[in-house]
Amino acid sequence: MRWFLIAIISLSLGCKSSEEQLPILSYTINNSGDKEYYTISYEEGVFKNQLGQDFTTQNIQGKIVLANFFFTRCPSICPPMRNALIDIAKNVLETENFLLISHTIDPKSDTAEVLKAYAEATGVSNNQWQFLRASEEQTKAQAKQFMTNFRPNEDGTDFYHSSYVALVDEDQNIRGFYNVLVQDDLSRLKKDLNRFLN
Amino acid sequence: MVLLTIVGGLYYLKLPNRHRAIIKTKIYHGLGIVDERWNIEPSDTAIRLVTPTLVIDNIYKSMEGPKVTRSFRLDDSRSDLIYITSFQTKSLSTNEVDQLSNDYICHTNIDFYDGEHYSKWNLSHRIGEQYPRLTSMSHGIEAYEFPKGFGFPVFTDENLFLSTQSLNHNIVGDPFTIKHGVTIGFKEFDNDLKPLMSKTTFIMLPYDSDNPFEGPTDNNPNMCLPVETKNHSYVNADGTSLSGHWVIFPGKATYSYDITEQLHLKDSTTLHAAATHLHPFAESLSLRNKTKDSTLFTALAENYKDKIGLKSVSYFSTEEGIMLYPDQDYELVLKTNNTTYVNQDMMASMFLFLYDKEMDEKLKSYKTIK
Repeated sequence: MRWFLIAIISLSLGCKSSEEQLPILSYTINNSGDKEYYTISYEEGVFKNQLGQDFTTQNIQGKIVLANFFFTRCPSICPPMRNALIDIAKNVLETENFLLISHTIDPKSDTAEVLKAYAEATGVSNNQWQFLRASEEQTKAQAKQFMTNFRPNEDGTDFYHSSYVALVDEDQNIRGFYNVLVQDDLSRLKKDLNRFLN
Repeated sequence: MVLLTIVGGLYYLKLPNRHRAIIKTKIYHGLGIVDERWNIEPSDTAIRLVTPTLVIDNIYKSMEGPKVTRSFRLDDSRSDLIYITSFQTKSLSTNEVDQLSNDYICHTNIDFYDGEHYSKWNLSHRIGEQYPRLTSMSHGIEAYEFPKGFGFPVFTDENLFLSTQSLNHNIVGDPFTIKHGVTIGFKEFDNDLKPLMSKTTFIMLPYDSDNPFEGPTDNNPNMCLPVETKNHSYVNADGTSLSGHWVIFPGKATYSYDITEQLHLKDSTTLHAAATHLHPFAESLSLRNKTKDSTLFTALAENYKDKIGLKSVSYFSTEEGIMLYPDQDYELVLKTNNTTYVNQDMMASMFLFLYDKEMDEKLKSYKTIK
């Protein structure tokens, strides 16, 4: 009977552990048809944050990262995305290994000064939320790493960009995508984030 | 607190039926008054998702009923390429076994995350080109499958998104509860299967954005009355406001819309399947080649005679395919017959499944290493 109980408990723990595993999603199929896994990286001297400081892969090593693409003049999806991310940042404020990264897709308008003011208005510390800026070409390359893209709309008033954020683990693997404009997906994000932070 | 309750109550009473349904569903699920859990059963050939309980306590016309959404993966314990081949949605009793009338299904939408989906195959240029809807099952067309030898390729660990909404055109009286059971069938990767891509096409009609709920008038005879202006509203390149969810008046009417831009064809390709979303009082929706003045397919809608609802909507599926060309124009033509004495609402979408040559090239390289 005792062994039976142990077997049942082991089985249930095994199921739980498998349920809690999030797959690694950062892979592509290369020209040879092979599945190629990669990790998120930031080349030196390419991105600068809202304080004008360099941002490299070293800044995300050992951290749980949430990343998105935005621009400060965005009239559509960015304001509600920003509110959702502020809410998340404030809930994990005391956690040192958590970092939010927002990449501007409009580097011409979003100067370091503009990003600094935008960052201050969030009420979240600069250590917790980095707003990054690079050339459009380099930002597109970074978007590709995060499995998204962006492009200006035909009327020039807005950009197409995604309302999804990517969750990146301590080893720089993408472990989830979440549409933060959908309440159920936001709840899923919070749950998955807690798995990594706890 | 009392003041807050009164203000909240007054606010609630002013809300349209659909928004009340959202609030009530949140309360029912949040307080655990009804089962708020999803039951998800993956297998080697299908995934079955049974929704939380939905409370039907009112007449809910199309797009109004209680709804639930959730992200899911076909099987996140593995990362294998499979082809989605079939879709089915059912209305179920809360015991999750007994089937109820499909009159309680408005629609079930399946979306994919285009960023993740296309990036894997180095097709990033496709991201954001159109709303990433894989398909929709809806009232009158609750189950269908792709023609033999075709499927939509995804990895088992890709993010998919399910949204399903209930409907009740006819039953008044005591509240009752239902669930929706959604089954998505798939096949393992196979050299012989051809990939399909989904294109969502739908009718949009112009409305007067200054006076959206007035008309049509003698000055603006072509203007429609949108059901609402927050959802299903669009602005075209000319700045004209368009609605994809509009009011139809008693009697017969015909509506058409050029879908060449929605199709956004880059190369010639073949159409292999088409699923249609219509509301009651629709009679048919045709896909037409405007350039050749020919009808490619007509989805026929059969309305119930003794109640409001669609008994069936015909579906298109063919292995041979129908050729579509990037230099030709296409349109949807909708015929309606509102047999009641009051206004009704209408939508008309056609989900077209086209052979995806570009993806097939990618898959050929994938095949070589298997």
